[in-house]
Amino acid sequence: MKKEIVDKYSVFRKQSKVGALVFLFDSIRKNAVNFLFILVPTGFDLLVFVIVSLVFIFILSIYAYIQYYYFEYSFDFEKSEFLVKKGWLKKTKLSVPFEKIQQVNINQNIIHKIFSLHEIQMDTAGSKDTEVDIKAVSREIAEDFKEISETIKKRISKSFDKNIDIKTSEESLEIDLITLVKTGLTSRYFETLGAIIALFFAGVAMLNDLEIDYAPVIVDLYYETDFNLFAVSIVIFVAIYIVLMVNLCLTLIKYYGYKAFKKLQNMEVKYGLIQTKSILLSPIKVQEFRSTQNWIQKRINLRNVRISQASSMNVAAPNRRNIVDVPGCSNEQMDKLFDIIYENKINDEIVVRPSIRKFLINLSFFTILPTIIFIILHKNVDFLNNTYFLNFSVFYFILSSFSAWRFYRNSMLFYSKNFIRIQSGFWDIKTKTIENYKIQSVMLYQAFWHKKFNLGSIILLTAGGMSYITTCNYDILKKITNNVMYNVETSKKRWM
Amino acid sequence: MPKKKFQNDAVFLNQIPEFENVETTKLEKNYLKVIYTNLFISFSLVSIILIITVANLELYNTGTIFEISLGLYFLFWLLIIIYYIMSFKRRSYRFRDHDVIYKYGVIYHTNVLIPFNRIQHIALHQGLFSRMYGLASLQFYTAGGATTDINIKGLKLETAQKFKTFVSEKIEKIDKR
Repeated sequence: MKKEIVDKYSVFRKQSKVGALVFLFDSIRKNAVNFLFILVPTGFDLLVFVIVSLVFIFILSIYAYIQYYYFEYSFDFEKSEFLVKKGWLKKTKLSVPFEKIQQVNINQNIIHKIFSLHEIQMDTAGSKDTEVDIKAVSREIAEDFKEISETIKKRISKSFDKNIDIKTSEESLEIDLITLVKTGLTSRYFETLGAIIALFFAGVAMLNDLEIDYAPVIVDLYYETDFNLFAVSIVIFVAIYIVLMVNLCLTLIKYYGYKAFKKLQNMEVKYGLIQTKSILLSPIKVQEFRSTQNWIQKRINLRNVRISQASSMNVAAPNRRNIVDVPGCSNEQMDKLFDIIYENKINDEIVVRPSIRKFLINLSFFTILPTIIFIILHKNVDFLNNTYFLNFSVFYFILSSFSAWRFYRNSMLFYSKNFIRIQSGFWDIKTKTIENYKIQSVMLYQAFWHKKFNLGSIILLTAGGMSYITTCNYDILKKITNNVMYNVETSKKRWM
Repeated sequence: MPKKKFQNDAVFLNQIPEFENVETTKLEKNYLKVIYTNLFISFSLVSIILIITVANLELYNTGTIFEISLGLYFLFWLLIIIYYIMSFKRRSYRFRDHDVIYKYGVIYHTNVLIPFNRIQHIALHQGLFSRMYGLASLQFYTAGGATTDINIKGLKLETAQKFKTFVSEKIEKIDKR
């Protein structure tokens, strides 16, 4: 890097002086709603309006100037860090190592254009917010930043090249029409049901808007209808039929012609009937491998897989390019996918299961307590004092206690040398697989009343999200934590 | 994926550091004063707003209900103060060779562990009252998100700066490896 640039940016610099104006416009834009709130009680008198606006802008100018005045940035080229100082009452010093900077964006909005200024944003991996946001710098400094970021990028890509090992095998995976039909008929029941219910309520809202009086019709229907088994089963049958058909159509349109194949060290996925989507998956960036299978799918050897990769959220969120869904594959196909992505295989695993207390607590909160409330309602409210409501209560009791039991039985953590798998769910059983060395941090906690039972919970964080299991043997969780820490700290591999 | 296997202790490594046996350092006593100051300000603000509301709506009287509400109001603040003191006492930290451990929590006793080679960036904050007592807080960010970002409040400024440099140097070394 040029010496003049090094000298120029090694001392703390303020932003461009005109930049205070950018801060002002920014805070006006952000506070416009608050401004309206202040204005409404004044009754829109012109004089009051002018005075309030002036005071408001005056306060914001002071605020903007303080923000501008106390914001300083510099580069520490020796330690390879970017430094920011900001804040008046609460002072913050931020240091971002060069290697962690994923992206340097240089933007211009209208106000920037008027004053020929630039905004510089720096992103690091994972977090939702932009870490560093320099609101206003001159063109010259923006150019320098481009140069510096190029140099940094070169350094990063150099260290990146070292770690690539190319597997030469050519593998591909195709999902045929029959599998897609099977998937459409067996997955996402709850989501689709939810969407249909939402649509139903939207329809009701529309009836309200059109001022159609439907309430008496429903009340009449409620009293006149003979709730016999036949009528109820027809309603249920129609509901199931709609859910299945909607699911089937959506799955076919979205995933028709699904193909995943290996391209050098990456995996490329293509699918779609109307609009073909193509996603590139880089194994080094994969954070989480999730497979979902429900009771029916288990009988026909079918499961859905979702692979999440890390990237800076700001850039990737709009079209969710980080997530690859595989709609329906057999166990063998999943193993093949797993091999494409991961170098290691899953070896001996330790199984950690929650304590029976988890089941008992879920049972008492979600089954016993509501059932007692139902019975009290049944006894005391005339409207509900009928056999149907009693039947409903019994049905709820059976279904929810069964769910609680399934939920408890399916909650498991598998620990092996290279991988941790966490399983959960009561109908759709999810299994998240994460590589030990890709874990970012571990949180281990214990409610104080669990101390004497030696129980606790663990949360494992990766750049792809969090995985957790609750109410397990605390000693084993501690052991897992220590082993994960050891794995991460001795690992020299890149996690993205 | 392989079939489930049963308990097999050989998977765990022996003789690796155990975080639970590590001595942790408590926060500076002076930080309690910062907590008191902040609580006092919140108390004053809430009380002033309540007094204004009571005066405006002419709710003031000498009835039992009013007295009980007043008593409950002070009890509420007393409980908050006790909670904050307990929470202060439970917080402690330790920097090891390769990671940082932070313990906290009154109801849920929590341990957060972040390895240095997963830290994205570090921030040193100094609030208005903290500055009066020469205190600072040190925050570590990872790509895992805000759930487990460690923010150690109530460190002496020099200590905070020392640890910031210590961790920065560790990160730099790891990146060059």
